[in-house]
Amino acid sequence: MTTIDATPVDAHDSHAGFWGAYIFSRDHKTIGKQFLFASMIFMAVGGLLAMIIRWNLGFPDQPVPLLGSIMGEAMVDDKGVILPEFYNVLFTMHGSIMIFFVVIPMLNGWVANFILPLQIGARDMASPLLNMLSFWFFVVAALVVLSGFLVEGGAAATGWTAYPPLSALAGMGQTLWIVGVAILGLSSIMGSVNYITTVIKLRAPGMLMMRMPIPVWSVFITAFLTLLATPVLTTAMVMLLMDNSLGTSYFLPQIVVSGELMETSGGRPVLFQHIFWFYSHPAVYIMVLPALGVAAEMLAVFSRKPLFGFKTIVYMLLAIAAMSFIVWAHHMYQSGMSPAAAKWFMFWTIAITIPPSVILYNMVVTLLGGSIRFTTPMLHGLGFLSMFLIGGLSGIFLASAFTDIFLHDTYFIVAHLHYVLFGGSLFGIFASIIYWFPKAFGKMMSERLGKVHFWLTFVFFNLTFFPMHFLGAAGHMRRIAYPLNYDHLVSSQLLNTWISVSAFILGASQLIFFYNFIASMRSGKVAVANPWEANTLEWTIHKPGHGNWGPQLPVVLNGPYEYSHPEVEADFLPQTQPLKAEG
Amino acid sequence: MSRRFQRTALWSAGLSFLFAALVAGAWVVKAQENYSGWWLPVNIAPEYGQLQDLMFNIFLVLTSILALIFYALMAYAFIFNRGRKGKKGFYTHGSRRFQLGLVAFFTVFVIGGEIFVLGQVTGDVWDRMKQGVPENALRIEVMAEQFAWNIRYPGPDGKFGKTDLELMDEENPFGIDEDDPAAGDDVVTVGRLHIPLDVPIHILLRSKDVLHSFFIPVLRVKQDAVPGETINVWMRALKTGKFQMVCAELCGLGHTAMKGSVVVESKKDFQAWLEQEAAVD
Ligand code: HEM
Ligand SMILES: [Cu+2]
Ligand SMILES: [Cu+2]
Repeated sequence: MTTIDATPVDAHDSHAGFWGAYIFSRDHKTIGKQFLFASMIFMAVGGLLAMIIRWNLGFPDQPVPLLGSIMGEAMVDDKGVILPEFYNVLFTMHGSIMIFFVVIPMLNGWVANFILPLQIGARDMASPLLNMLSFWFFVVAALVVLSGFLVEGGAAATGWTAYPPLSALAGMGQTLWIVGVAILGLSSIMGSVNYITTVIKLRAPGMLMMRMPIPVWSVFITAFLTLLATPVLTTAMVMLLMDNSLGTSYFLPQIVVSGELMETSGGRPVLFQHIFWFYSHPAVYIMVLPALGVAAEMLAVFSRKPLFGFKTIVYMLLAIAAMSFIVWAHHMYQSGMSPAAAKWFMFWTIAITIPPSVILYNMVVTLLGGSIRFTTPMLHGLGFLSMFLIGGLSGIFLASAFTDIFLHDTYFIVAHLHYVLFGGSLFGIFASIIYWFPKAFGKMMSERLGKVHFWLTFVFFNLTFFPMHFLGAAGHMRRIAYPLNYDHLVSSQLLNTWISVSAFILGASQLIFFYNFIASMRSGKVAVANPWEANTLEWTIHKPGHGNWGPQLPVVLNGPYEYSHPEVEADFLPQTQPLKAEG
Repeated sequence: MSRRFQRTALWSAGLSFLFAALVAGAWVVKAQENYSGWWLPVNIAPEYGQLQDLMFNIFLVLTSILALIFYALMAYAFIFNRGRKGKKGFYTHGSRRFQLGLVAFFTVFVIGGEIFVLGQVTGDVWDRMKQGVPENALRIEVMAEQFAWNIRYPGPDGKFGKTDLELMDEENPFGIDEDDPAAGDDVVTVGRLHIPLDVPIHILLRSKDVLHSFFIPVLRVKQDAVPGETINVWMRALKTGKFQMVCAELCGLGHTAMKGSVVVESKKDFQAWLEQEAAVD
């Protein structure tokens, strides 16, 4: 039933010299690392933008320290204070970079590429070429979007959601954003067909579907979401591009802009929102499910216990994926859509909390009765578990159309999305980097620095984002540059300053991670083959070269979670090791 | 590795403490409810608005309980299941029956809660709010534009004059057709929404350019204004005073300054104000 590729893959890379081996590599491990490095750079850029956002909100009317003097006149006034139009660029680019160029490529580029073939015992992706293209399309997409900073009028400024008519009326920076996001869509589609094919066709002998570790399952299921949803995003982007640049009116009714009647007619702005969220709701699972898979893996490995309810978790992931296509309009309760339809979306949105509840519960039960090792990847896994929970719970307030009336478009949303994306996805991403660092670079990351980084991040993450729930409850709108303009927000300023100070410490703490990453790569402790004493296949090869395994592919005998098996002396049982000695 | 495990008591205590602090924090802030700027602002809306806050508080109780149960389980594991060298975990794959029970439990809990709370309370009020504009409501047209709120009252005849996008300019933000006899007594203001106390208000919400969102925190209303569409919103104010009205949907450069005020006054004062405005026109 499984197809076996017994010959090591073509040796193109080994003859390819520097360019072939490091730049245009087709080796999934190299491509995974390329995604990792690129996304880390974008994370720094996106993070820096967040710091400037927070400066403006916490210390209004004060010149931006250090950067104020070097920022252009389209960004700051002559005293160095952020201009409101540039503020719109800041959160738009911050959100877009974090979503499109950090979380999605980290999970569906780095984790998927590096881990998937290694954990299922494949020599590479089904199509190494497509895999390479997927990376380079991603790079081009990012450069196109970021090049908006260089053009007349500045980068996109209509939010990461780019709702028309505003986005259709905007200038060159917005056009570049649309084109870039469409290109990113192509990159995602290429990646996803590859992951699906690889899982279906290239599993090692004995790697039954239900013996695949949970990170593989989550990436595999996510790939279906990407494949089904992304073309819809691409369509939306093409239509928006035409409205923006070619004079069509898909999303534009007759409108009057600054006193002038535009030559548009017949389109509907809300249509864009339906198409956009038809992609972007599944996309929120694209942004979180692989992180969930990674976190679940950490919990099992470091609790030295089988992942509790493993099969149920798989089925629940499938349920989430299926249901994620019928809840999109919960982002649009106040958009003027039919209130009757809104109730239908509300029903399914609340129903979709069932599978994640079951998953989280199984994850926490995995801890019970364990022999928990609090390593840094485990701490990040626990960070995921505890913070994603809060994101899920605050989601209940937003899922109910009725409470959403007040909370929609306030900081309650900003709090919610950061608990899910930062507390969830980003902790999962940190876990993945630290956990697989020894496999990727042959060294261990420093545990001491790692712990300092985790605790600072965990504490200041909460001090930054938890109070945003309060701001939202007070009616503090998102995407506003000057809260002090509003009577009802004057007394919130203390909170805003508090949040900003915490955010700066949070941002600065990430430097520890970057330092640890680079320093450990050069001079970290040399890793042994299986440093975490884990079961999965990637730990059966010490330093995987091209084609990963030698002439013989591993033969899988067990499920991935046989930890602390009573008949085995050690507390783990690699998937390739027979339960009882041959005899 | 073993020595490191010994020190994990610190992590455990730290984590558990933080979790508890988060939940507690929410409640401490809630206790200060009247300290506006940190929690739901005053609520001068009738039933529909009170129910929104009630639901918010119900969810707060519910989610706090769920979070505490969850964190208690985690804390239990951190304290009692810390690793030691040579200590194995408890080997179990669980049972099918347990998993079925788990799925069944959450299904009943969620769907049941949904039918009970949302079906009975929220769903009904949602309908009334979004669809059930009261018959006798006072009609006011609100036209959002970059970056202002234009407001129009039908005047004594109770009828709005015809409008046309082609006639819109700075002097005439609604594009009112002056040839229409109903137009003569229409009252137009910018950024100041006067409404009478305790009278249902029917807002005909429009936008001439991009998306905006009509948000009055104290009245618990929020509705996007969509160009090309007229959306019905209704509300009622139970307290006189001047309150903030804002735009909650990103609408461009001046979004952060797009605000207005709502002036709630007694019916008599409102009538006087309207007549005075009509006379000025
Ligand atoms: C130190 C870390 C971070 C800080 C201080 C921060 C701060 C903020 C703030 C204040 C906003 C709201 C801006 C506004 O509405 O005016 C925002 C928006 C947003 N953030 Fe972050 N953020 C951080 C990290 C992240 C991460 C890691 C992600 C994703 C993984 C992320 C994703 C987003 C998104 C999607 C938006 C919405 C943008 C929009 O409104 O279009 N942020 N962030
Ligand atoms: Cu959604
Ligand atoms: Cu606005």
